[in-house]
Amino acid sequence: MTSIDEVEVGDELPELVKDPTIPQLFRYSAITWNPHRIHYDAEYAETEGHPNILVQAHLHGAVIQELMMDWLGGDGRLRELSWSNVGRATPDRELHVGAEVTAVDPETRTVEFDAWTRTSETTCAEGTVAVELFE
Amino acid sequence: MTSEIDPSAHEDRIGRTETYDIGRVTGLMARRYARAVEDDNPLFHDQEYAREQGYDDIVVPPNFLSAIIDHTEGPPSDQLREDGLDPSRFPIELPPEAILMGGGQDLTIHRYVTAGESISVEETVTGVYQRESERMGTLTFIEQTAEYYGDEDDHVLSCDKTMIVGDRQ
Repeated sequence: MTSIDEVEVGDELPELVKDPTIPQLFRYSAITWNPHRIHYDAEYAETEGHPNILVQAHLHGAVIQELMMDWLGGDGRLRELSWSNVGRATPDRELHVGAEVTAVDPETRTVEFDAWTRTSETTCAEGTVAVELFE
Repeated sequence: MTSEIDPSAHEDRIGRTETYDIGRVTGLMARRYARAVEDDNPLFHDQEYAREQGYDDIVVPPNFLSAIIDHTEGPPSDQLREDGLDPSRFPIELPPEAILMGGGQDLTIHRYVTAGESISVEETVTGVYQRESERMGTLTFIEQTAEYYGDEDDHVLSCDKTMIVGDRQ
């Protein structure tokens, strides 16, 4: 049970490490009906200046969501999820997903976080999250 | 060239709303999305667990709805842009050689959608503007907001999103 009394500003969630693969990116494009070639055609992606096919912008949001909802379990719900895509991630390189508590409001039972995805080389997404913890 | 886009020529698009249906979001769609993320959260996969948590059915991953690029079947592939995207899905006409990037999303999740619900959407263009980037030159930003409604016509999700249009470097 995640209790709001145990959450403090500055707490970091245990990092989630994802290892995006080419089949995974194919599946993500398929289920979101995304025909953008930069996600499945490396030769084309290079013509746009990318080193390889790219992890989809929305998938960065999805893995931040995964981190947060894993932490919540059945003890709360996600209320706000925002992210900006600021760098690139490519398949077969680890993607590290993290979040740090920035505010705790016991009255509304809301916890706010800064969240991010990073590779070993760059920050890919920066965002904020708000969750509500149930009583 | 993206710099040839004139934001003032698209002012009549600002505030214009398109309404469309995503249709019924099935349990299989929700589970496939979660699988594509490699997200094993039982809320997305295990109906019994989801019901124990108070939901009618498995939960649809909240950012699935706003991650759908095209809610239609799209045109035949020979009518897609060189980059694979459907030219008719953009709120303004874009140069064929322009490159597109997802800029991010701001989601407010009013409640979780569960499997079997039918979703409708109201999508509005809220801004078209340009900024200079040191690395990329002139970038055009297209901002939209989308409101998602569930089975009871209740508001389930709000999404502010940004699409960035640039030139090949």
